[in-house]
Amino acid sequence: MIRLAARTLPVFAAIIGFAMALAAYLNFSGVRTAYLDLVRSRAAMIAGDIAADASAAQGFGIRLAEQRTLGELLARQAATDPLILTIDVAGPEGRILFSSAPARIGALETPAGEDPAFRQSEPVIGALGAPVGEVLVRLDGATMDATVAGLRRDVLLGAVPAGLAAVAAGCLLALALLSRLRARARRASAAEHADMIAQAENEMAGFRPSARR
Amino acid sequence: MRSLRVRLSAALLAALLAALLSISFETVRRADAVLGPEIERKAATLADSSAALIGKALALGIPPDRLHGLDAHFARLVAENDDVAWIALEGPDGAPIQIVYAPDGERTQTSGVVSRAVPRAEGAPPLAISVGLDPAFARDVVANLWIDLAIVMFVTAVVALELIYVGLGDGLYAAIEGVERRLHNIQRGDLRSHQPVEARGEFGALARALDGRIEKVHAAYAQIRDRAMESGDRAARQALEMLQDRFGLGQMLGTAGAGRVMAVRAPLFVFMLAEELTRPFLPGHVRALAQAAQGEGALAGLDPAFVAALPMMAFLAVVAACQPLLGGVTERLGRRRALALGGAIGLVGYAASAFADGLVPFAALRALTGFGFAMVFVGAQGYVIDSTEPAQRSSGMAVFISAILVAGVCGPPIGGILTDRVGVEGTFLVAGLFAGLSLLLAWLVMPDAGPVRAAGPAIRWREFGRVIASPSLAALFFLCAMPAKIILVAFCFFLVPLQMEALGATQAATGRMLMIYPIVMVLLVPACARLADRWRARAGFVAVGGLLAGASAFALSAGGADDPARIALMLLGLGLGQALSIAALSGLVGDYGRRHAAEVTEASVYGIFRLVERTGNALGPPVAGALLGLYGFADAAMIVGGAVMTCAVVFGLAAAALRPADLDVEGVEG
Repeated sequence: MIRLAARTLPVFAAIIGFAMALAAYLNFSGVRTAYLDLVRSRAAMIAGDIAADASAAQGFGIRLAEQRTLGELLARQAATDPLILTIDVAGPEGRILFSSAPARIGALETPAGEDPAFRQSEPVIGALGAPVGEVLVRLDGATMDATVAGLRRDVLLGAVPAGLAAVAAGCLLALALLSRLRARARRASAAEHADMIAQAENEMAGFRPSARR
Repeated sequence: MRSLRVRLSAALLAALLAALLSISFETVRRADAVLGPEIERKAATLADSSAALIGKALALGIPPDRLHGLDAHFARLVAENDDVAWIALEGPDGAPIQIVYAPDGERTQTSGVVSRAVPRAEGAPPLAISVGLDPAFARDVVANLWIDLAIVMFVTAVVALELIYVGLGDGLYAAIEGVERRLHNIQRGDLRSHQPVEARGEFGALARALDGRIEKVHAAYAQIRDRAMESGDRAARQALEMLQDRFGLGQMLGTAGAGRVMAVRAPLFVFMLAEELTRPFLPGHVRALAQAAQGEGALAGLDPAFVAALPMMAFLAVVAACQPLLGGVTERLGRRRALALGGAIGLVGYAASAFADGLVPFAALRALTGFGFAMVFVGAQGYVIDSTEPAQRSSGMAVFISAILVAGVCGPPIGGILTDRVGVEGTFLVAGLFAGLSLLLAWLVMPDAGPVRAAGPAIRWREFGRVIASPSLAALFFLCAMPAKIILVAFCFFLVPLQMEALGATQAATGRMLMIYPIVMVLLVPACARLADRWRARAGFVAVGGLLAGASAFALSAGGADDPARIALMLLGLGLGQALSIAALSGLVGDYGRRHAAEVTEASVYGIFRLVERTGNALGPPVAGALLGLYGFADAAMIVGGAVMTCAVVFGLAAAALRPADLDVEGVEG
C-alpha cells in the first residue's frame, strides 16, 4: 500500500495543487478587480465633477485657460484624499493649465506608459461639443500596488494550508477507496467466500450424472 | 476501473470543495478589510458630488422640495454602484425630508453611513446627503466567483479522472482494473474467465487469486460435463447447459483492449483541451485582427465577419486535408512519435499565436497548429486501431471519442475564465503548455511500438468515385454528415462566441455557454446509439436528429438573438439533435457501405466519410462568416438551420421512399 500511496500521491498533489492555485488566483483577482474598480470609479467621479464644472464655465464663454478658480478647487479636492497624488487640468495639446501641485503647471502631461501613477481622466467638453481639454486624476500607484500585494499574500497564505489539507484528504480518500477494493478482493479470493462462485460450486456439487437414458 | 475512477473523482471533488470553502471564507474576510475603507472613501466622494450638485440647484433658488429629477439621479447612482445600498437627502434631525432612494423602498441595514452637508446660503436650514453602504458587497464579490470556482472544481475532478492512468502507471492500472472487473462480474454471476493480469504487486496477485477460484469452477464444470457426455445423461446435459448459460462457465472474456488503449487517452485529452481553451475567444480575437488588417487597407471590401472566418477555416482545412495523408505518415513514424511530434507542433503553434499581431501570420500559425492537431488526432486514432482487435474496436474508439468530448466540456469554460484574467495572449500560452504536456505524456505513457511499414493510403481516389456514385451514400454524406459539421462549427465555434461578445458577455460566460453542446453529447450519445440500434431505426434517427438540430436555430426568432437563454436553448437543441444522429450516422455509413459499395473496403468508406465531415468543418466558418456579414446573427443561424432541416427532410423522404430497395438499413445488430 505504501507503493500505491507513493504512486498516487504525486498525481493527486499536482492536480489538487493546480486546482487550488487556480481557485486562489480567481479569489484574489476577483477582489483585486473589485478594489481597482472602486478606486477607478471614485477617481472618475472626482474627475467627472471637475470636468462638468469646467465644461459649464466653458459654456458660459470662459475659456479653459481662463478658469482661474480651478486651481483652488483642484488643491481642495486633492487634499481630501491621501491616495490622490495630483489633479491636473490640461489643454487640448496636453500642456497642464492648472494643477493641485503648482510645480506641474506648464509642463506636458506624462504619457500614460511612463507614469507609475494610477490615472483616470475625463474630457472637458467645449460649447460645440468637442473636447477642449482633460481632467486627470493621478493616484498613488505604489500604495495601491502594496494593497494588492498584501491581498495576494493573504489569499495565498490562506490557500496553502487549505491546499495541503485537500491534498492530504484527497490522497487519504483515494487510498481508502483502493484499500476497500483490496479488502473486497482479498475476501473474494478466499476459497470459502460465500459468493456467486460458491453458489456455482454448490449447484455443480449436486450433479451426479446417472446412466445413459 | 470505471466505478473506481468515478469514486476517486468524487473523493477528489469533495476534498477540493472543502478546501475551496475555506479559501473563500478567508477571502471574504480579507476582502472586507481591503474593500471596506475604499467603499467608505467612494461613498464620501459620491456624497460630496451629490451635495455639490444639489447645492448649486439650491443656490439658483430652487426650493428643496422642488428638485425635480433628483430621485432619478439617486436611482442611477444606486444602480451604477453595487457598493451603495441607498442614498437620501436629509433634514437637520437626520430624517429624510425629501428623497430617499433604495431599491426596496426603505433604508436597509447597512455596514455604515457616510453623510455630507449640502452647501447652503447662510441661515438656511441645513441639509445633508447620506449614503448607506451595502454590507454584503465584499461577500457578493466572492460569491460572484463561485460559478467560475465550481467550474474549476468540476474540471479538476474530470481531469483527475482522465489522468488517473498516468498516476498509477500501465501495470498497476491494469491490475486494479482487472480486480475491479473480476469482482464486478463475480457479483453479477458472470464467471467467464478473464485474460490474465501480468502485473506484479498486490493487485496483480489478487487478480490471479480470483482467476484461480474461477478456473477451479471451470475445471469442475468441465469434469462434470465430460462425465455427463460419457454417461449420455440428457437431463444432466441440459441442466449443465443452463448452468453454463447462467454463469458463463467454459467461456472466456475477450481481451480487455481498453487497458492498452487507455495509454493514448491522457495525451489526446490534454492536446484536445489545449485547442478547446481557445474556443470562447478565438472568433472575437480573429475579428479584431481582421478589422486591424482592413484598417490598414488589406482585404478591403470584404466583410470583417467573413475575413475573421478565414484563419479558422485555415485550421480546419489543414485538419481536413492532412487527415487522409497522415494515416500512413503516423504509421511510418510510429504512433507515439507522431503524437509527440503533433504535441511539439502544437506547442510552437499556440505559443507563437500569442505573439502574432497580424491576420496573415496568425492564419499561418493556425494552419501550423491544425497540422499538429491532425497529427495528434490521426496518430491517436491509429494507436487505437493498432491496439485493438476488430471485436474491441468500438470500445477502443469509445475511449478515443470520450477523451475528445470530455475535453470539449472542460476546455471552453476554463479558456473563458483564463481569458478574462490573463488575456488572449496568456490563454494561448497556457494552451501551448498543454500541448507541450501532451508531448510529455505521449512520451512517458505510450509504448514505443516503433515505425511500421505503411499499409497504403487510407483513401484511394478511385474508391472515392465509387462511394460517391452510390446515391444512398452520397445522400448520407452530403445531406447529413456534411451539414451536421457545418452547423456545429458555424454555431459553436463561430456565431455564438461572436454574439456573446456582442452582448457584452465575459469570456467565462461564453465558455459556459459552449459547454452546453458537449455536455448534452456526453450524456445522451450512448443512450441514443443504443436506441437507434435496438429499434433498427438508424436512418430515422439521422433524419430526426438533423431536423431537430436545424430547428434549434429558430429559438432565435422574434428577437431572441439578444437573449442568452434563447442562445442556450439553441445549443441545447443542436446537442439533442446531434446526439440523436451522430452514432446512428456513423453506423449507417457501415451499413450502406456494405450494401452499396461492397467492392470498397469498410476502412475506405469510413475514411471518405471522415473526409466529408472534415470538409464540412472547414466550410463552417466561411459559410457562417459570409451569412453573418450579410444578415446578422439570428438570420445567419436560421438560414444555416433551415438548410440543415431541408437536407434532413430530403434525406428522410429519400430513405422512406427508397426503402428497402436502396436506402434500407440492413445487418443492424440488435
